[in-house]
Amino acid sequence: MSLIDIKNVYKIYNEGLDSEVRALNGVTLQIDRREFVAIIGASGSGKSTLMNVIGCLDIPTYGEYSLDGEEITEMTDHELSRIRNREIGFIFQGFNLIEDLTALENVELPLIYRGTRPSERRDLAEQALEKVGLYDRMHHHPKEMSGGQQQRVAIARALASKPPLILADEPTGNLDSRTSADVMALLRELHSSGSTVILITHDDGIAASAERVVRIKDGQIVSDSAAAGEATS
Amino acid sequence: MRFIQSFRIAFKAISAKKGRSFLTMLGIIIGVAAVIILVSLVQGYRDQMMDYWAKQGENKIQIDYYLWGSNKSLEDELYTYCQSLDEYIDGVTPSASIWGGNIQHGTKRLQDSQIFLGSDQYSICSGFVLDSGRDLSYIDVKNANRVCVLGDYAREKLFNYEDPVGKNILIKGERFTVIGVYKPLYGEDGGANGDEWMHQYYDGAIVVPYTVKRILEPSMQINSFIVKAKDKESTTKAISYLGNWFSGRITQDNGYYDVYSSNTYIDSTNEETRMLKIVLGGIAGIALLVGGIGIMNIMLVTVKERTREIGIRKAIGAERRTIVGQFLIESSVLSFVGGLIGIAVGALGTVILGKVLFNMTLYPSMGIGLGAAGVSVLIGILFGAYPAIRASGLQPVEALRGE
Repeated sequence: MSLIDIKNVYKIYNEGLDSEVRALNGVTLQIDRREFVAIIGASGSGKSTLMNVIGCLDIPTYGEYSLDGEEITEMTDHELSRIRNREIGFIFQGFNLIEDLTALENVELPLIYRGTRPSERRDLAEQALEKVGLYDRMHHHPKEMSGGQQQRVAIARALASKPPLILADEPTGNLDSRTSADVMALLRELHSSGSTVILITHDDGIAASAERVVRIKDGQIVSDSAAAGEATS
Repeated sequence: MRFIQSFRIAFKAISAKKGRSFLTMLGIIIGVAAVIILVSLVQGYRDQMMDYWAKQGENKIQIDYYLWGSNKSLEDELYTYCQSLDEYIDGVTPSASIWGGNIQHGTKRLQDSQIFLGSDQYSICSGFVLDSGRDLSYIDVKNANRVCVLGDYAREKLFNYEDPVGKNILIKGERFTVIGVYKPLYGEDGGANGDEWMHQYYDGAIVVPYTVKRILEPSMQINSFIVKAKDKESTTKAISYLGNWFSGRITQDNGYYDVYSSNTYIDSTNEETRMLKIVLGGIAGIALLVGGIGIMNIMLVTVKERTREIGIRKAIGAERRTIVGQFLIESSVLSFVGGLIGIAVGALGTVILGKVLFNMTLYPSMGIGLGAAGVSVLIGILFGAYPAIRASGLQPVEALRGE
């Protein structure tokens, strides 16, 4: 059974109006455990909407989506919170750190919501920060850090609770090429240590890091290297 | 544990935005303090008036009259008539004073003394209680004996620790023997009951038999009397009898008279302060309402500002109730702290304003303060939580987008 099983999913805004937008227009996609997948597409192609659906940040208008065998579209808000907290680690383009909290507190946050004991929580958060090379800056606030450092804090936050699925939405979009390389190295490392990593990008160079590339255009999948590989073999 | 965690998160949010937090609290502080100060000042004024009247004595009838351009005096006739009302009254005394100038005893002196002309019932009518020696007697009055009883302030100024009873003092060159001393009518501490001026005026009294005015001020007429009635009912009766008595003797053409009791003043003071309380309480209530609207406004703006933060928290797995809890705690803490500071400012303001404006020691009315604080805390919590409840109901992606 696939980790992610999306069947014929639509996300339609202003349905039935002149201004109707089909951000996802019948997407079917399976992703297995331990895969490293890049979803690539131009701006407005629907790749971010797909990532929001996969990350349970948004509910599709039509279609089925099961994550680890559980049907997402029928879940309550409470259950969705639990899934986001335990199953998924997010890395956003805009980092999405909470400005008022220090790096350590930001990393601890998902563990707080999970209900982890304070001492264990602190250990896990410190380990995660050490892994991204920010152990010595854990008491700094996001404002006091560079973009690359902030993104590494966000990565630490995503991996601290050791979720099976890492979702990265343009993680290098706001970074220069050298720090981008660091971030990509971290993602590869996460993948090789057993996580499923899904990377959303518009950059072919970045997508090349992944084992599998899914190309999306106008809300539809136009090519999938896994399917292509199967076809040629 | 999660509750403690929510507290920590809420406190972090408060301390990270000190300016906003302070503005939120300011509305509550001003509202609560205004309510406490206004209501306490009115209450304090009323208490002070009541205290004054209580000191003056209840069921006390004041009689003032005057006959235009006539040498005829109703003095003796009125005095006799008053005494005939003994069914209703405890005592009657002329109420008049003569300026006594500086009075000296050895090196000690009492400046600008007031010599009070009284009957043997003077202390009953004025509320004085004898401290030592004896009071004026019927014989003293009848024979116009040159004796006097000293108020506490007069005693202190002229004799200090020396026992004055039996000693002589000179009043306008005449020798008078001190026969007794009254206890202080007004405390000398200058506190709630001790207006310094009142102490100096009333307790600075030197009371002599009214009949000695023949010696001290022969031309003087006594135009005021004080009658102490037995109770409230007797007061009303006595006033009506005295009114009748005067109406047969004084008309608008030949003079005037006035017979009234402190009871009338007590009632009207009560009514007056009740109205003041309602009006000022209303004004303060409006201040509180405006403060509450300020809190609402800031809380609403805050959530709009923090919708993105709510989105982040939801994205990493915060449940709706956890987010609402955080905002609830945040607004409760702000409101409570604001309420407490408001009570403190109100209490302090009451004491300071009471001293500055009325020279009184006032005590803040805490019941009203707690009520006001309760209302503002409720407003703060409701409007702190309501927008959070709404924002947390959004899909995380909508909240993340919303800035």
